[in-house]
Amino acid sequence: MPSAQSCPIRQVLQTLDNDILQGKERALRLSFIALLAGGHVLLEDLPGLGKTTLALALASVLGLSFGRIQCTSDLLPSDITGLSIYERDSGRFRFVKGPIFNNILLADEINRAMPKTQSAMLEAMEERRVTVEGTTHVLPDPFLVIATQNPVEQIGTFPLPESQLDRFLLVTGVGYPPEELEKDIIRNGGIHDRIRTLTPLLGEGQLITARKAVQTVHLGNKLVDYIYALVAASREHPYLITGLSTRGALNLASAARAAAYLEGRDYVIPEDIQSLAVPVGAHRLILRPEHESLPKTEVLQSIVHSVPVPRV
Amino acid sequence: MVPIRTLLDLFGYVACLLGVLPLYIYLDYPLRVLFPVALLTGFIGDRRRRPLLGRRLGTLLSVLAFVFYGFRLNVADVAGPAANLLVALLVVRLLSEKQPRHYLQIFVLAIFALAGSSLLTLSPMFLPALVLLVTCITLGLVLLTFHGSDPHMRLPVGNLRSLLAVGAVLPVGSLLLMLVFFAILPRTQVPLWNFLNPSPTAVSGFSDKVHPGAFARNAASGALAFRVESEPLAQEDLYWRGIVLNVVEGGSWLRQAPPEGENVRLAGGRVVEQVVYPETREDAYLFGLDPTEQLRGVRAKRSSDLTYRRIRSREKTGSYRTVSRVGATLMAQRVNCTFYLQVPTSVSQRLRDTAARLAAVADTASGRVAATEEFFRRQKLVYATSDLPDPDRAIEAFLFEKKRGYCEFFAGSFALLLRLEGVPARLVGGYMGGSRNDLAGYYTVTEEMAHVWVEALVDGSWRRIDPSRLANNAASAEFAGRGRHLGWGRRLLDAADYYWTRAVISYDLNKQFELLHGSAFKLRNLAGEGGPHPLIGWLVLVVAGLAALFWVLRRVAIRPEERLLNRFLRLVNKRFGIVAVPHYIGLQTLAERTGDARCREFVSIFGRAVYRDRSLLPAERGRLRRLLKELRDG
Repeated sequence: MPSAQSCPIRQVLQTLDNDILQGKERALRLSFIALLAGGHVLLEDLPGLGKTTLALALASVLGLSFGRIQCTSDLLPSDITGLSIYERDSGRFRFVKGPIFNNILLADEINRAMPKTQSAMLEAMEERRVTVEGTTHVLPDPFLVIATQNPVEQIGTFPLPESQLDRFLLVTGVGYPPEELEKDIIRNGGIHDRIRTLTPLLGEGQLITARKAVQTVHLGNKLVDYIYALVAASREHPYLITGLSTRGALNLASAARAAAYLEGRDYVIPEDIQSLAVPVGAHRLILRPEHESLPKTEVLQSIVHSVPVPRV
Repeated sequence: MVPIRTLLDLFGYVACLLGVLPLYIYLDYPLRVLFPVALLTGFIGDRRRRPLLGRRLGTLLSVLAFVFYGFRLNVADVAGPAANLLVALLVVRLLSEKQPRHYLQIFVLAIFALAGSSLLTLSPMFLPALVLLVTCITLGLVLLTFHGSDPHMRLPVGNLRSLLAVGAVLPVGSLLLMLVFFAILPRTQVPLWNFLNPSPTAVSGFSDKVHPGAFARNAASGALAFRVESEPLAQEDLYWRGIVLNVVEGGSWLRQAPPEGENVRLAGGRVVEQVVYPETREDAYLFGLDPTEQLRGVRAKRSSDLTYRRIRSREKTGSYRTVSRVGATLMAQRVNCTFYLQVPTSVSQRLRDTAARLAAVADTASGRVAATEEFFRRQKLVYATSDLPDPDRAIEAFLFEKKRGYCEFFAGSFALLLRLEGVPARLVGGYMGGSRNDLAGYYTVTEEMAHVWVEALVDGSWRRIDPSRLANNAASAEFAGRGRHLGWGRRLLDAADYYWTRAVISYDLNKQFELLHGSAFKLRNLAGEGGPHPLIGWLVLVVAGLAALFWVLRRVAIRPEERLLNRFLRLVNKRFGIVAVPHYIGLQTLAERTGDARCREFVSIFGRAVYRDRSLLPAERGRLRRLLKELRDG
């Protein structure tokens, strides 16, 4: 396993964290984990906290193509996937690719789109291909969807059902930047313009190599047991109707592998799992009606604290 | 990967060996040959997976063995045929096919065989054999449970090692318990079978009847007669007095009760105390260094001629104490001279003439003794144990014709001549010589050292005369070599046997308590006041044993990783004050909290092994230990 200096992915993460996207360390790291583990991210936060900036910076630095969809209630599935148009000159239909045919797709305010559109997009995320009028189009690889939703707005939204939420590898917030940093931003303006001129630090091939390396990270039997114990505890928790699904456990394992890789280890330790349990697991839980007011993250954190860590 | 089956076979063979070995010399000759052959053949058969005997043939042979030895069973000898039967069944078992239940049979037979050996002998071999057999069978049984669930099971070496380690806890525990029970359970000082049924076999070597030439060849064995714990003594003082023979009848010397009123008083001499550990024997005479003044530790009757006889011949003792006065003069009081001058009427004229000639040389007893000694020297007699004179006229043939014989010829003829000359004389039977074992400070006396010498009444005291020393070849003769030093290995073995006898066979709880009391008393004197009660010693021993057991259990049950981690957690607690680490805190988090680079390194090395499902490498273990040491010291 290469050290932090020699592994390009970790270098990029450090550069981004230190120079460009200060104060978004956690969201950035999780995005990288999602990218390496082959999953998608849902950012739950208020507008104007730099979600787009994050996605854009990620795309430019990694040398990946970037697409963006602003979800509204009249957004149609074809606005995402693309559509066939008739070319009068040739007398044929030509398929015009939608924004989903990009490596990194930012789906802003996904909860504003109609369920039909949501499910079309989420299906594409899962299948990594789009079928339009009988023709199947494979989506580019790597493919990362960063969806956002505003947790406060309620009117005119279509909250994602739990089954759809399950398709996101992890859900997290961005949070306000630290005070000093925010003052800096106020003083000097954002980095929006600078991002467009960022040079790619990584080739596409390197990212794919890294993803292959992540898959070889060792997940010991003790940690498999640990993940299972967490999942089992969530299923038996008195506040919950349903705990973590098998997909949730699988996602937790692959996210933990990616986290270990980012730490420069070729084996997973319990801390990798603990740090990812809430982002990977919380959105998959369904609370009992009488406990609905409780934050899911807190419930899951309490579950993590109830399961002993494997030490020997 | 090690196949369970192979190991089980191995344990089976070892169990057989351990069970049969202590019994081996008591087996019938055919079985002595058959057993090693069966062991070897069984081994080869197991390797080829083709047993020699089919199931039916095996059963048939077992039944035959039952019938054969069943018929040989009688009240006089139960143990012998039973032991032979056990070994015969083992032989059949070794040669036939082995299912799990057959392994069980092998283990049971081996235990019975070993237990049977204690009926016949109390050799120190029993203890190591028992310890090893218990260990072997326990481990065998553990493996058998695996074998029972899958006969083709194979185990990795690591798993096997931990399995055997855990299995070893059981025998270790039971052996510790044995130590405790040893102190309180009843025991026997003689082989149980001998105790029930006195062995009819005659003891060659020492006997309470001297008949020169009765055996065509003196077939004394090298068997142990007794061991004596004493200070080092000069070789020429090593005469072990047992019996006094005072009557001649025909060609034999016999013992009669000494005449009433006779007494003996010891004058001068150096006091030597001894502790004698006799081997089991049927006659009741007790031995001590000549002349024996006192004998304690066993109820014995003292005769006026300084012989000691057990009052109850059935009473068995492991040891007794004697006090002797080496070089003392045996002042005789009120000796009935006519009693010690009796001679049989059958004495030949030639012998009478010789005696008359010798008697004419001097008037005093000492002069006549000297003359007789001179006569013996002149005759150029040879000490020998083969080509001996004819028993019918042994003395004459010895003195005048063949001129060869062993101690009984020398002493018998010498005493007879003295009596004919008018000097009261008697024979003393016992042993001469002894091999000093400096490893433990004792003498070993064997049956081949059995000896007879003469006591003559000279100037009012009984003087010891050893006519065998007058032999032409006395310096080089067999008996002169008595007491030669044994080889180092023999001495070591003998010392082990001696300690076994001392500590186990002749173990006496009361004596141990006495000993403890004695030492406690000494301690009290030393410390001024408040000495420990003897029971405390035992308690300490038991507690120490249990603690040792607990320690072993922990060592065995805890893997090295766990041990290292526990030490690490204790150190973190001590150094960084992180008292209770919640169970959900991972090691890395803990190391980060301490902020110590050594803790981080420890956790990193530790995690690399543990979370990768492998054991720590020796180098890693070493590094971790160093880190822990640094953490502790730094």
